[in-house]
Amino acid sequence: MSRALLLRELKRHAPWAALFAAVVGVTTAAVFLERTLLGDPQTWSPVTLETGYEANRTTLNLATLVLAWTAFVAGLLAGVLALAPDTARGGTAFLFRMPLSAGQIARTKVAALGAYLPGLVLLLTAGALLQPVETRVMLETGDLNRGDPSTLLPLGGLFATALTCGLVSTVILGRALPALLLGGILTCAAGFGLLAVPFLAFGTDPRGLFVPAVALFGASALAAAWAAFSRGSPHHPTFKPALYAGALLLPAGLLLVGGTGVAQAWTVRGIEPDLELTASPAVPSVDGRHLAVSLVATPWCGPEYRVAVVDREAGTRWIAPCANAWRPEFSPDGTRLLVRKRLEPGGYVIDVAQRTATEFPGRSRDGFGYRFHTWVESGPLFVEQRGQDLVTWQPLPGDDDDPLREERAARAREAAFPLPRPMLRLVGVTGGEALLADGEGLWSAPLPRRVQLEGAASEVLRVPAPRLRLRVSGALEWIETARVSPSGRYLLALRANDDDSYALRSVASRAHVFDLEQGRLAGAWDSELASLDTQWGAHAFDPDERRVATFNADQLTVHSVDGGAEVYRREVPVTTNDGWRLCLLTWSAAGEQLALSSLDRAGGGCQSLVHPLDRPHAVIPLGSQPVVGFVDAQRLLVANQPLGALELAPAREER
Amino acid sequence: MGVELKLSEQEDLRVSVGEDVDPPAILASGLGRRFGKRWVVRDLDLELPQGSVTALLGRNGVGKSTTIQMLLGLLTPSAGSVRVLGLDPARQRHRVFTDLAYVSERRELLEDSRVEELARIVAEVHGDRFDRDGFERLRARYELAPRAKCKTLSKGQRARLLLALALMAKPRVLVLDEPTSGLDVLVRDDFLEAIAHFAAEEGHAVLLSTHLIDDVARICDRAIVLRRGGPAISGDLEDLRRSCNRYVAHLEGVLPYDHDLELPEGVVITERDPRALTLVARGQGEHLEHQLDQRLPLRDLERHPASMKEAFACLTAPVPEARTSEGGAA
Repeated sequence: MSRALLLRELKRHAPWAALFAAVVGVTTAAVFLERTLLGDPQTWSPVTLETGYEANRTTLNLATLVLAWTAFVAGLLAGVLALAPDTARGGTAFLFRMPLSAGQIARTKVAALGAYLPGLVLLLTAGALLQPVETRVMLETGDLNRGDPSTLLPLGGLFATALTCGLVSTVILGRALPALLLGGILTCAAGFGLLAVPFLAFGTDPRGLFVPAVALFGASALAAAWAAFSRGSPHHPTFKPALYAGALLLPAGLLLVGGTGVAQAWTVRGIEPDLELTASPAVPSVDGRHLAVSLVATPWCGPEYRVAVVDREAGTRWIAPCANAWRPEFSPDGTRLLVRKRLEPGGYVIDVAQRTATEFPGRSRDGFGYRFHTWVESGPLFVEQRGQDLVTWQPLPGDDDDPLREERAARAREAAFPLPRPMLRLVGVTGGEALLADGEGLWSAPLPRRVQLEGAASEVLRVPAPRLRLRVSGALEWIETARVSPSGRYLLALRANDDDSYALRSVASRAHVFDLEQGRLAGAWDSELASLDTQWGAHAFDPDERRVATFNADQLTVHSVDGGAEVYRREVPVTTNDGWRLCLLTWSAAGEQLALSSLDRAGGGCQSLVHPLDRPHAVIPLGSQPVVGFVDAQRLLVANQPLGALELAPAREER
Repeated sequence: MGVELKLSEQEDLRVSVGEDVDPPAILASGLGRRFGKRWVVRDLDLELPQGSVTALLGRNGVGKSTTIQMLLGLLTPSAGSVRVLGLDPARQRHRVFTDLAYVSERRELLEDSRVEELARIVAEVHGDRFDRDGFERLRARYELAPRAKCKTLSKGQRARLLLALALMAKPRVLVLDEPTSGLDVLVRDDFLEAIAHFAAEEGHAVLLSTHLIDDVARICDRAIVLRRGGPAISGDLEDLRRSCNRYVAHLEGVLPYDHDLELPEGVVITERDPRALTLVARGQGEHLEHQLDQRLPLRDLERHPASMKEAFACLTAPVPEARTSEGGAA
């Protein structure tokens, strides 16, 4: 390798290195200012707004974006500056007329580029060192400082892809600035294709796919860049290298997409041994015989969710035959189980006896898309309130690939009727009726079923308002939240005492339990409203629906449904790693024990206790393992473990 | 010298020829290149003997630069094969350029480098072959400032720098594409003198592509003439000149200015006035009088030896499509 040539390359790169430092520096400074002045962007993330139980939803991480941006800019600049100025001014042609092979020229250029690598590593290392000091750092490196290949590989792949696109665009255009523009476009297109195509084709989670896909594509792209460099015309800009690169990248891309699909199918087929319980409470059937739980495994291709059913009497368990499903809910008779697809429209109804699944379409990108549902003979009936309308939808079985989809959609159209009274609020659904509350009391209204009329599938059919029936009278306009018991007989409603409750962190409120069967207020008690920066609090009806447990404001209480008498109270100070908490309340099968577990934002368990209700001062500590359900009095299911029951230790007295 | 070799024999050239016969510096057979459907160069057989200074001639767009790039392995031929000093330039380009120097029409340099840096790079790449002292002498003679940036050099300075770098790398073959175009007379003389000195050394060969017939006449001993639509003609420069004659046709009466003359193939008009035409044609013109008599009111026809310029005007004339089967002397 010619030292003089290497020196010349280094001198030629110097202005570009300065440009790189400026671009990355400005970006980093912008992130620093943004974090300093506007706070941690994670506080705006969907986690905060999320009210479900999935606490580990991926958030927008600006630090990762900065790293990706750095890799992108570095790769693109390196690719473009390696050739573009020389190609445009004839320097490459000059070099190719000397007794130097293409490999020797390329090695010199790569060595010159490599000289800047220590600076890049230094920058990243500085970021890694800053991270533990303070969350507001200039450059947060995420998993990089742990050497996690799942972070390094995508960054390396992104660098390689940008480098390649820079090289290819520079031999097409010859001039640096147009090549930077084209290279950026090509890199974005390649990145989009890498993530979007497999996602659309196979439903592969982009996060899981990113690691192997970008690494493989990056390697292919480097090979293509080499072909473009060594086989391209050194005399003038030409499209020919792009054709060489395309000829290499096209099969690589096809191999990538096809191989990803096959690999994913192979991985998913054998996923069962890797499934673990998620940190969401197990759902018991009303008769208590079955327990439905959500399982998850996280292979390379993204999280795979399954639903399993545990037969408490027979001591068996089986996994429902539906992929990517979660959030199970039993029908009141316990014979059917409704599960939703995750990040896909629709879901399944599982016949518990036959262990078969029937697919239903959805009207949302995530599951069915309605807030409430109830059961009718043929399946679920979805309900939600839209302004002053109540909208119902009863889907027909089938999936979105069904050729009769349009016809089916036309036969199962949404029906909407106007609420006959102002200020009515939908608080629950049971049987075939909607439960509505306002200042006069709790009302019920029969729901329209499937509508079969001619017309466009997307058209909402308007039906006449049904006749309301007052079930329980009383001022119920300030209901914060409400839940219908699993059997559909009771409605638990937490009602603020005044309309300032949203503004104040802790306001006295009152819990009401309505007996929907008898049309009466079964019981009521005063309750603390949890502060608004935590979840509302957990609640759970016991298996017999004679008691209801609630947890908020560090108070675990159990009240009798009939009359509202307090039968158990215990103060349980809950702290989590990050100040954010989500609590799971789980009853044992016979209702003699109650487990309370807290989770942090990332879904990790922080504190788990089992409370024997017959011994007010006894407790069974479980460390940080969140309890998701009881198989029987002595065996329980804990999150982040395979689907197997753990034996419960004896309780100890605490005074 | 000038041994006719078929390409199949050329494969084992160094073994079969032995010490008695030097291989041609460049040998091409059936060489062709097309861009899309259009053949720019087709069926070109070409030989550049060692010790020769050969001109590559042809009208604009006939494929001279394309031919040179194919000969040097900088452009992949669509057909045919090339050997440079027994090597395949397409596969062994960098080895070919160890013994070959090329000064292109565009005179590309490493624009951001200074003259002394460029010389250092070239010297390092060529190793001990490069004559650093010789380069310094030439640089001083050509008045090139060592600290001058390449991008600030004039056209003539660039040409002289490239020639100095090329010559001091001690190549055996020198290929020049329009090296003197745009140069003033003094620089051009200097340039040609340097090329002539290079060619005078034993075993060296020069291929010079140019439009300037004076340059050709001054330093070249052979020529290869590329013609549009026809095979190339090659041979000794004087033989090529002698193969053409100048004819002065005196006419009866006046020839209208816009009269469309249908001349026999291979005949080129070099001068035209109302009562006489000056024509150049290949061969001795035995049939020319008869053919002209049929087309023109011919009174008298004089024959003279053609000058070099006239000969090449005739030799480079395009060949009609139907006549592409005419054999050349390549």
